[in-house]
Amino acid sequence: MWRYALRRALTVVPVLLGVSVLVFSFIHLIPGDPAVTMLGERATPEKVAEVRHLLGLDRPILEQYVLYVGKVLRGDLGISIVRGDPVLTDLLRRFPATVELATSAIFLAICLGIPIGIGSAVWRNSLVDSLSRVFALTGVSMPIFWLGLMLAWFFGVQLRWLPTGFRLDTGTAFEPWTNFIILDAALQGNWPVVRDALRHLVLPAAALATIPLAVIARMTRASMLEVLSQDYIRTAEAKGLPQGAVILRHALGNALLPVMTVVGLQVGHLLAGAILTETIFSWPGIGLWVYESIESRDYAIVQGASLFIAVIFVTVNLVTDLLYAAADPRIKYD
Amino acid sequence: MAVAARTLTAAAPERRGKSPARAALSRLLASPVARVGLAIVSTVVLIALITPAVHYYDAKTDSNLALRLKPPSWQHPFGTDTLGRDILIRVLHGARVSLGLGVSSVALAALVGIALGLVAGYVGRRVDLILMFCMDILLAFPATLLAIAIVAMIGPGLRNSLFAISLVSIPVYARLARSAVLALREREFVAAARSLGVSDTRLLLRHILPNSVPPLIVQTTLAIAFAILEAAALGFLGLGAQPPTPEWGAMLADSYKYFTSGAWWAFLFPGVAIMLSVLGFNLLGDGLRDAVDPRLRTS
Repeated sequence: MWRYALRRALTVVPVLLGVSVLVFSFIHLIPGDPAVTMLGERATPEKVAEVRHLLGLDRPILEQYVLYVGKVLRGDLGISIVRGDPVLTDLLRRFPATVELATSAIFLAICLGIPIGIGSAVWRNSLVDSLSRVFALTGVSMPIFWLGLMLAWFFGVQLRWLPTGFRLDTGTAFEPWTNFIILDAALQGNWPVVRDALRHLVLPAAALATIPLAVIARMTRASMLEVLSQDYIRTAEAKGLPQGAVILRHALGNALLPVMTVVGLQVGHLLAGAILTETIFSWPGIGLWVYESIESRDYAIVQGASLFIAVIFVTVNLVTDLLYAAADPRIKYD
Repeated sequence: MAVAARTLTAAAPERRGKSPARAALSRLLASPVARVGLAIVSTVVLIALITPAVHYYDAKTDSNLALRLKPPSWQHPFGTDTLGRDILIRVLHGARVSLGLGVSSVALAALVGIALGLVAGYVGRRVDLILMFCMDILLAFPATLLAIAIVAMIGPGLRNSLFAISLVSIPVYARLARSAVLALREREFVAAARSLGVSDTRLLLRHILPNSVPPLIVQTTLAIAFAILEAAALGFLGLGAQPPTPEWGAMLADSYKYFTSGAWWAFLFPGVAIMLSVLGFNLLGDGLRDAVDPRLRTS
């Protein structure tokens, strides 16, 4: 198993190198001179030259790439042209907000998606099954930014039940330790802030959870149907075991293995989906930051955030593969 | 004897049964899910084709501030937006833009992806290794993020969105085509064609590609759904179609600015249009998958 894990982990290295080449080339995709595009046509030649030097654009392309990789390995993702801050510092400051949102969304998607998928498979071709299939198909077809707008309008503007933006009410005095506001407030015993943060989290998390929820429900249903048709399940039923025990004790474990892979894949998509959700709900995470950077043509941020999210995506996929291999004894390690 | 021969001749077609394509079509049309999908897709395609022919619309001159943000009425069934433009008209004309973007980006991705997959699978060795490595790199990014990052760099607009959506859709086609080639290249009919001296290009295009079509058709239907969603997302972020083009995502971006004003109609209808189109292609794709390979049937 350990040899397999090491071999699988090593396959990630060339992919990450390729990712770095692609992200590095982003800046060269900009039509014309990237420095002029960032600063605008009115920028002085001195300022343009300064930015070109800052971005390393005045060097040969191979040297630029080697320097870029060297900087990335030292944790230097560049400098924001607009704010003048190191990209990594801003990224790490905003990352907890995105993690808080994405974790809540995936938690919601798993907690609802798996039972829906199981119910759909167990009561196959019933009303429950039809409803859950319609729900799942609608879920995967839903533009999350539109759903976010609808939720914000209905629950925030019309009913005034929930806030439609930010992580806390304006005027709430709270000093977070790690920027994971809910965790920090809970550790500080500040329950009004925990409640306030949870209220702000409901709508964006619900919007972001929709597609993963639908995908997990569909996958659980398909996987459960496959497992329920196996001989060992028929044997368990023939022994007279109650249906609940057959499903929970015999079928569920095996049915959830492919679901695990889907959950892993969804984590990466959640980080990309956060760009749209955070924009709708003014959620101060990486997504909103990227959106604002695109508007202000702060390309170093777009580059840095893309690389960061791609590395997380590749790592989560690797971990999922390894967990799958550990959980499923049928997988051969050769 | 003659009677027996006639009976045999008459029975022959029945014994042969339907061709795989006709059998798949029968299964597709027998599925209620696929029928609903087909109905939605046909409606959207018809709207996209007919609207520009029966109604002239110039987005650049369409504005009437006296009719600003009017709720749905008989005169304006979907209401009006901040510039007093009829939302129904813009949603109908938007079908051509959104569907056109979805279909053309998938067509481009399919063309490039299938070509790369066929070459990788058929040539093998280093070519396969290099091409699939490039695909792995593209797959290392969440597709939405990569599309957003690329358009952010090359600049907003319909053409650039088309390029970005195509690029992120290529790897799936390449992988599908490659696996089809790997499955088919050792089959007898390929060996027979090769022994007859058929050239590699002809072998790929006339013998291998037609036999890999079913999974590619299914993928195309699902990819159009994805492309419509991506195009809308780019439009919403201001990276896709630029105002005043009536594109559904861009219309949502416009309505988002004043959603607290209570003008729900401004974002409800473009969103419903996106969702229904995507749902239609997803339903059709699901139905096609079941029809093409009944072993994968989910119900």
